[in-house]
Amino acid sequence: MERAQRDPEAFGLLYEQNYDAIFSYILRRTGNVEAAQEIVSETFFIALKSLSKFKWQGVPFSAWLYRIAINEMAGYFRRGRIRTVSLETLQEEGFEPASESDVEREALAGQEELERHLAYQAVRQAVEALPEHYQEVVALRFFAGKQIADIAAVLGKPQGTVKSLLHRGLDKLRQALTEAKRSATFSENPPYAERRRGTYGE
Amino acid sequence: MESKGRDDKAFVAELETITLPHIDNPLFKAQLKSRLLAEAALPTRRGTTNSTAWWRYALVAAAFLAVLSWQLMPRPLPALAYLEIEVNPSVRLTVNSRRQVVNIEPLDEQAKLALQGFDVLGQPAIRVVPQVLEWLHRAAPLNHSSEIWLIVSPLGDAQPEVIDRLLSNTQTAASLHAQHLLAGAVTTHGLVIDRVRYAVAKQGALRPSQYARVAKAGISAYGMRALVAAGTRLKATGKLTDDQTREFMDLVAELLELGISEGEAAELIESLLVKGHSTRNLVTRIERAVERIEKGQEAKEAVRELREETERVDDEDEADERDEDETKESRPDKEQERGRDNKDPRGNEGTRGDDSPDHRDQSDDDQTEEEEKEEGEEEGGN
Repeated sequence: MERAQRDPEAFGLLYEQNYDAIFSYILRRTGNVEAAQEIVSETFFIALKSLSKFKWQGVPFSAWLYRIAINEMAGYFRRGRIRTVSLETLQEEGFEPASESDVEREALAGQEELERHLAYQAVRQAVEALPEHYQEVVALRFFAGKQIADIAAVLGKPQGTVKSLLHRGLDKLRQALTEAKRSATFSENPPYAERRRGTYGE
Repeated sequence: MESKGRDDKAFVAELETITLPHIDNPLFKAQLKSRLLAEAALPTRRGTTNSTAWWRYALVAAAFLAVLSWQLMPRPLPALAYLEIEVNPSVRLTVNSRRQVVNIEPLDEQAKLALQGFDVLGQPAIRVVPQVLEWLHRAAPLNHSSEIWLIVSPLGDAQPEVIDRLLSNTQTAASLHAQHLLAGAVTTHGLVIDRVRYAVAKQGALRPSQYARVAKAGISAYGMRALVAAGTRLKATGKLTDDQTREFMDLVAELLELGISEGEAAELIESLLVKGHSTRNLVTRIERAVERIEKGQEAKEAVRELREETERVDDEDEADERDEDETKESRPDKEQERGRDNKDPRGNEGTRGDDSPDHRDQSDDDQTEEEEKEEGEEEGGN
């Protein structure tokens, strides 16, 4: 981590270690490949620029990245879009991007894959409808697979607070999904509805 | 309450069975990494914390010390001039403002071989030039008909008087050393040539003596460029050999005496050579034209006639060749004739035999083909 503060290559290593987890989390939260790419870019650029400010205080680097990503996503959900670093500026500085068409094709394929996960889509929409202070706790728990202690580290909250937020959040999510099940939109998602039916023994 | 707890657990278990999407986007990932590393490599984009500010001061101080050290270090003096020495082979020296040799460069393979192990860098040019002559003499012995050419081309803002002094001193040193080597006099030519003409001459791969002749004839850089271009075209079409290049230059110099422009002179000679005439034949024709001008003919008219004469030149050439053969048979002692006149058409004094094209006079027409061949071999061998 200290080396990454002065060595670009070391930062590249941190990027490799954390990219997949951060991108997956953002993707599952937004449900949109393009938006996830924008947010993950912004997250790492902010991390790079703020690296000198990062001080080891028991919070892992990955938790710090999640915190940046959550802030950026909050902005995304509020504004609908986010500012990105100018590619032209980077190109002027000698950066050579991969073929744009290939990257676009890759994003389209990813979006198609995303659309196939209908049960997940229903949960995601329900999470998005939760009050903001429940959203991140629930999402970190189920979309990122984090445990209470990890969620506490990311959000900078006591574990007890996280626990109660998660409990209330799950309660609200279940209500939301039950409501959705009854609605026409929800009934159009048979796999999830069927599984729900089986679990609750209707 | 208990039932609510069971519901929570069941709901959590249900949520955990949902397959979450996992998408690989390696292209985007690699692209983003490149962008990040490019950004990381830019020092101006870095944060400005106290620690970075401290490093900046340290860097400024280090840069200041580096500049100071560099200022105090002895620096190489600026180059004053190129000094080329040609005795066949040819060598180029680079001389600094203290007239010390800072670089030595063989201009041909023979010089390269001759100067293997030769190390004179840092010594005064006046001492180096005789040593170069001696080394070259070992590889290709000088004789009394040899010519030494010293050509100085100023670099930077060298003062003309400094350049003249460099040339005259080295020329004297070369001349004295050549006398010592051969126990007799050897002609030593010296010339200053400006950097534009020098560059054109280099572009045309002319030997120092070749472009020295052209420069001596007063041909400008523009004219030299035209000559080099024409010479290159002629060589490409096989109308001019390397050995004839010097004669080609001399022909143009002769034409200038008719008062025509350099460009026209180059074009005229080129067109005449393209039509298949020998350089020897053209020397005669040009001399005739000069004679006509001296008798009062307009220069333009003389040039026009020169062009027209080419139409029937083939017949005349044959007649000339027949005359030469007859003359050859009637004059076996050609050596006597060779020493007869040492003046070239422009009146320049020379000490070598009149087989030199720039020392030609009318008697050169009497040269046999054998002599031409010998001369060609001499040129080629050198």
